[in-house]
Amino acid sequence: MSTQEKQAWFVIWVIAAALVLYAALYALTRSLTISMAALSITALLGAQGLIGRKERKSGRIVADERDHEIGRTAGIVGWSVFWLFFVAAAMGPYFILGPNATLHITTSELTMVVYPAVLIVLLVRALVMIILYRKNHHA
Amino acid sequence: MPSKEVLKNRIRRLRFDHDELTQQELADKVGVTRQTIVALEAGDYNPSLMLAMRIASFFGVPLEEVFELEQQRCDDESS
Repeated sequence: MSTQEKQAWFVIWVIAAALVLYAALYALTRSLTISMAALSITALLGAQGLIGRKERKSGRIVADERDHEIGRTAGIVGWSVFWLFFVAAAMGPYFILGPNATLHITTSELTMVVYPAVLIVLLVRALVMIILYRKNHHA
Repeated sequence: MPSKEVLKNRIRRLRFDHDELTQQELADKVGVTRQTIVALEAGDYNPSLMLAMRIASFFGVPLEEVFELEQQRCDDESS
């Protein structure tokens, strides 16, 4: 398994763990605010760079043209998913509520919209990487 | 009957003919990961021109001796 594929699996497992913990906390507390503490696990995503550190230190190639091509394709799909979310979030209220409406949302509701959207983009990107690594991939 | 082009290679044979070079050793020599060599030998990945030239240059053979473009009928499954 290549370093990038290991990193993709790491992203999937961290986000899955955060979602499971979120669901468990909500089931126990019925509080969105408390359940959101589960999202703090996703801070581990910042440690992705540690994967493949041993290989990099030994001078071995950890990412080559095939990895870059897969990363590029996955990035395009992830960006497309982000764009769909962004357009829906930006234009949805306009068309649903009208141009002169006012929307009051709490900060926790804002966080619940923005943060999961970013997580979904990262998840989609990681899933596409896994699929491309497992399937035939041509440069 | 429609056909598609498939790039075949003899990397595995050339590797064995060169003192049974391992996939990792070949990967280190041409500057890629072992997984890319695995994908190349399985026919799951078509290399860039640069990588193809580096492989051919390493084995000391012309590019056409390493890679071959084959026409396959669309209802055929390559082995």
